Amino acid sequence: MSELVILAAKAAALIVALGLVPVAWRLITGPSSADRAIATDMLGLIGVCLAALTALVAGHAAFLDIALGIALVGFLAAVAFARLLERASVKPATEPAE
Amino acid sequence: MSDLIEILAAFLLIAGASVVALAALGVARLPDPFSRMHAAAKAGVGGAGLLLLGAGLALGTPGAILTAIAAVAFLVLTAPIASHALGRAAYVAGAPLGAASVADALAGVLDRGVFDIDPARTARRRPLPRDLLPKDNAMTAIPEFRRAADPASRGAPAADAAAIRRILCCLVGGAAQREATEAALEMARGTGAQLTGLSGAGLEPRAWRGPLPVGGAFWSSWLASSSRARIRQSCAAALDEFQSLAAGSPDLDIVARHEETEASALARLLAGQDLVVLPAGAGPHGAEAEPGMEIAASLARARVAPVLRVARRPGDVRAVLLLVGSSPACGALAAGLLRTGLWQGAPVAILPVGDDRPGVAEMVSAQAELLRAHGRKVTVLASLDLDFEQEELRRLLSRYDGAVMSRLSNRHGGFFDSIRNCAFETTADTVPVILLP
Repeated sequence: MSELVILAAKAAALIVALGLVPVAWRLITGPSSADRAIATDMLGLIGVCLAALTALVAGHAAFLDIALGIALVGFLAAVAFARLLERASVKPATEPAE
Repeated sequence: MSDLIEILAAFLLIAGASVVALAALGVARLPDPFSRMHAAAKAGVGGAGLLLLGAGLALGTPGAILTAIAAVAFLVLTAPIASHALGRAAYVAGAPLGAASVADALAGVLDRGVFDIDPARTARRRPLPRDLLPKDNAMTAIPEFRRAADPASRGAPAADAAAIRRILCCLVGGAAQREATEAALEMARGTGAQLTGLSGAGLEPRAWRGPLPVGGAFWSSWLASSSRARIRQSCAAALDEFQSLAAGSPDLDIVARHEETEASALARLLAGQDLVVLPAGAGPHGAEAEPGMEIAASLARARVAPVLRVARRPGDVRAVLLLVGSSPACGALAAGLLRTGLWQGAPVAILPVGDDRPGVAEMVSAQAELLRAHGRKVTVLASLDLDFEQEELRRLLSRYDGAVMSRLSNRHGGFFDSIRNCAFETTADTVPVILLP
């Protein structure tokens, strides 16, 4: 691999890591649990990207398998969160009949 | 050749990283959970796919390229599942739709919960801009205590009229609103009463009950929201007019307020008032209601407060007609008229409606005596049978400036409804001012 690809990979890692900041902000401020679950989903995608870039920078193709693994299982977390949210959602209070 | 591939790989890496960063920005910046989910799913997967392909190309071995392609394929397969589940969960949990959303296609299809977190608690508090704050904070921060309206200090009103202490003027909009506002102001000027202008009454858009075309949920919500916007506009115009008219008499005790309530909750607001001035046609869905459907009619039926329904401003009321029918509320008409102290000098004519019914003749004579005892000039007219003599009633009513009545009858949509005549509807069409005590 040439210097160009390594340089591009480092720059890309920097850009992707910059993207962590807004996602973390959304994860902290919510406001609803669904927003936090979506931010977690996005974190998984960023993890895939960072694993692939690590493979380039470290020169080991094995890190790509980690990206493959996260891409395979990452959605399970989101689906589990979604089921939890659906089940835990507050039912609207029924108004007392006047 | 390999140079070209490396340049392509570098380009893919940078492009993919940029798209992922944009998706992250979208997750933070977009207004509601659904659009955030959209940014995370589509832009995120697209960016990560570009980046993975770039990484596979840069590594160059067939195994790496295959792994990258497999990862992209699994992302494309699984991301829709995740985002669909998340969006559905957000909807069911009751996450609010953003302000820009046009329609809620799932309304009525899925149950919605209550949004799980109080938005007022988590919303960031923005500091007020400095110039919006009043200059002299120390003095204006203290709420001004309301002086009791004192009729003795405000000119010389009639002795009896001091009974009216609080007048409420409903600002609904429509053709008769200006007349009603002016009448209320004139009355407040005459009695020194406290006048409240209440806008926003009956902000309850008419539900669409007809057949709906394709896309019915969208059109019905569009109809409801546009009718609500129209009602709000007319309310705002009426409030504006009220304030500009009220500015002409600064010595009066005048309050303007806006409450968005439905007609039933409005009744609770009105309970303490001595007189409620309503423009003609003020219905529960904004202006232009049929007489039987008006707020005035339903308030009179609920007997919350005396209602003055103004269609035109009569100037000086010279002749008052008292319509006495067979319903028990008609026995209290004269007492209600005397209590409000309206129309002191005008002679009162009592019209029995259908005096063959039980109790009408007694109520007529009792009220004539009561009015005479208070020094009013009273004449008792010949009885009318409303079911057949609507034209006579109309001709008779056109000679009077004011009417006092309860709701004599109501249309209830039965088989005989088309040949029944409603005295309230006839009177509402003809007489400029009606008092419903």
